[in-house]
Amino acid sequence: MTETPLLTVSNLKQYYGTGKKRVRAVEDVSFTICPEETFALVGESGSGKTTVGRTIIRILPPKGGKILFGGKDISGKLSGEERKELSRKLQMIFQDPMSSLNPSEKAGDIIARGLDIHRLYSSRTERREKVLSIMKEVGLPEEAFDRYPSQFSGGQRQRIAIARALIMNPELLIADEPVSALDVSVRAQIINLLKELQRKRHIAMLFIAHDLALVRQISDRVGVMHEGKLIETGTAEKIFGHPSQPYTKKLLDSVPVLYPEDTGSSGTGEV
Amino acid sequence: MEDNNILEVHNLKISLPVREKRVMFIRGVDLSLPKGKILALVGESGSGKTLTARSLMSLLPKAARIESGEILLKSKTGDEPGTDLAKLSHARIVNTVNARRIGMVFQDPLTTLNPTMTVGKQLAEGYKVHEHRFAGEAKKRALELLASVGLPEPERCFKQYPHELSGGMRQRVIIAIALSLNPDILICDEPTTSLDVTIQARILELLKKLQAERQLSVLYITHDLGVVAEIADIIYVMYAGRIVEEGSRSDILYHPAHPYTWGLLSSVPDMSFKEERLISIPGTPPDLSSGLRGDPFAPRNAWALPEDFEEEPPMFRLSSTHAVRSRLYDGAHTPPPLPENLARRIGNRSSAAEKEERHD
Amino acid sequence: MWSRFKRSRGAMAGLFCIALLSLFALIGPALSPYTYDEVSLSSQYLPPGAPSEEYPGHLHFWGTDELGRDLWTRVWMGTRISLYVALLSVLIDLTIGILYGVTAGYYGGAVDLILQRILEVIQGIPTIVIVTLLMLVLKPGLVSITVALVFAGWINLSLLVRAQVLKLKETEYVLASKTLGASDLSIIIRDILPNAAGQIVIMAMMSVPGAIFLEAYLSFLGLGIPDPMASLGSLINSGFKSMLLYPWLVLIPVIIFVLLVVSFNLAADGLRDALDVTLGTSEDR
Repeated sequence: MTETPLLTVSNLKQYYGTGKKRVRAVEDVSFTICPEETFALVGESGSGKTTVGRTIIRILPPKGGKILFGGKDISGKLSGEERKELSRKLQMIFQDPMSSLNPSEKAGDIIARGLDIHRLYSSRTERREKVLSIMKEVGLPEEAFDRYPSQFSGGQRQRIAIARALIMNPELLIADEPVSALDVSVRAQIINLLKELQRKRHIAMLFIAHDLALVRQISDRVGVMHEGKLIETGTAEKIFGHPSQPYTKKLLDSVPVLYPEDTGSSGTGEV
Repeated sequence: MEDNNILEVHNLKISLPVREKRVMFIRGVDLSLPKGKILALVGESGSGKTLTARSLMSLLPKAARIESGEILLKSKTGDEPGTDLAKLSHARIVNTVNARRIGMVFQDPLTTLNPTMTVGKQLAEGYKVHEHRFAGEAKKRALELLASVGLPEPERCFKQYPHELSGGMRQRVIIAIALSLNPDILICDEPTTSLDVTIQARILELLKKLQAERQLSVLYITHDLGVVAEIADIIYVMYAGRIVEEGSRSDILYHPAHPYTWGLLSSVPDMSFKEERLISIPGTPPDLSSGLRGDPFAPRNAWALPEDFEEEPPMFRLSSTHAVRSRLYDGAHTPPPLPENLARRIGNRSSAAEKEERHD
Repeated sequence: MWSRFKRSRGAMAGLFCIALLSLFALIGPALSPYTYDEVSLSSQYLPPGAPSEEYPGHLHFWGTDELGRDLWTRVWMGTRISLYVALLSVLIDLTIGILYGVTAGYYGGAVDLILQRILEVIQGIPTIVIVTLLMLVLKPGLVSITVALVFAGWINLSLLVRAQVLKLKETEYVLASKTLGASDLSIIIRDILPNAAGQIVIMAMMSVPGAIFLEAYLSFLGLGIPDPMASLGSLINSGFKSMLLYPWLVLIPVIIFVLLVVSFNLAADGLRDALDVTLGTSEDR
């Protein structure tokens, strides 16, 4: 692709702990995401994929490397203003919609949080209208506005989380295992919603997941992470059709499939 | 074939209190587990699959009550009529059935093991409590067992604490503990959901191996049809506290009949093909506590008939192994063809796969 | 929540008792013609229900003490002191305790380290020593009790708040607010405090009996409220000296004191059960 990338991550490093107990979580990870593109990071637990996502959105400060977002370097120390500005263009959806919503606030207030922080309305009516319109977009009924998170099903909660991120009109959305805590039949609903919103709003997405079959359905390009390193990147067709790394092959073979012929080989491959 | 079942559940009903009202969460479940087979009980969260499994081992929450039905556990030799577990006391089941006849593997390997005891101690404990053996003998058998579940260094593992093991190894230890007293039935409640795919594949393989070696009968509970396709001989699909379709692996995967099963199968993403839109089941599962009228799936069912909204359909037999709870198969209606995407996925493969299966 | 609180009989009894005792503390002294410090040497040690000499037609409901002061009036005046101490301890908990705990827990690191060391030093000095030392500067009385409570009464609550904040600040909804660009203050006010409120309220209620007890204990030792003012502790102290001859002088204030402390404990227990979701009806499958 010849487009200028929206996000460029180069040689990103991240550690946990200090001194001798220091654990390398992410080592020299580099990739780019173009506007409107979906890049998926796949890997097993402990591979560092979630850490990459959290470092890009600056929940964790990077310990090395560069992150360029929209042409600006965001890997250094950010002032409060810069952080606020970044939050309007870069948003995140978390894995577990049980714990990513404040249990003591109503859905409407949770979604409006970004509006409150950035003072994006001039009256209570305008605030409510903005929230209701985004709720409609993600498929939440109007009466959901005044209900608490505990009164929703898992799928609906994830819709609230998506609405909260989208109300900022971000350019890049980081989705960290957005459906792995949901039932299979609900997963499809949420994935469809994300695809649809992405198309309508021209958002780029960093999709972090361990479920390869889902990644196949949503991603344009895929990066495979293993023990903190990005071992292979390529288009979805290439990674799923002709993986070059043995680890990627192993990962693909391990996915249980409905019809063994789906991948041409039996799911429980020798590993 | 009746005699071949090791466990039979008839018309099981279980209720739980919700806001000071008793609500039926299991609304009449019939289930037969044949000897030496893997039966998968599939359903979404809240469908009652876990509750059903727990009732077999008297592990229901305190507030739950078995309202009716019987749970027949056949004796090892199979010549007696069997004991009705629903009528036994909690203590009787814990002392005579659990671990001896039925072993259980739970979802989360970390919370099932006692973090303050070594693996060996937890294993040997089981023997001492149940068989009054000496520590030496118990240890020997425990080591054998650890080796049989594929732990590379049983001696070392024996001395380790649960937190020193990886998730996959912990789940192997739990399987070893569940098998320590040679039960004939193993209940697995989503044993691989918290594990990575590569580990999951190995655990499934192990279960298949153990099942074949020990002639185990396995009740496997999951919401993941991909896993079911890998492991199951027989599949039961559960929705809102009742079985909506039952059949052999090929019945359910290649000739699914119930619209809910269609939805479940369609929502499993395809690895070989990128679809514009994933098929999902519209709507959400019903709230059982607000009362039911008719078929609980009817509001989400594009093929629902007017009478489905009035009365829940009975089971209709399609073949000796296959039955479905849908009026589309009552003879008076013409069953609709499979949804397009599902038909495409099953496609020509079904004939080839079925041939393969008959060879087994 | 209220419906679950109502279901607990003990908690309701506790709440009812607190309401009743507060009512009498307010109007009790006005129901008799005497003031709490009115001495009458002709009516010493009158038993409960004895007729008054100065005010014909009136009774000494609970008798009189060694100086002929009306016990009914004095006991309710003492209850006022106990309730004042209860209110004060809640206020201190809710202000100093929360501020200290939130600061230590939320900012963590060096701030937390310093604040915790200061706290350990304060905690290391027994309250009795603090109050005795205060006597050198202040006269015994309400002021010294107030100072003692301000000095050390909030420590337990601040520890609880700190632990709660440490836990809550790692939740994903706090992370989500951070990614939305929320300020620390907004996160504390909207995400952290509301979710710790249950625990905080319970803890503040739980500290009430302790504070009441501290006052009574100090007064009993003569370090608290001085004569002629009365507190339940000082009444028990003086009644205790003539317990065998005039038992009502010690029994009545003891009964009121026990009622008060037990009621607060019961109400706090009920509140805990009502707020604690883990004890509630779990929607188990």
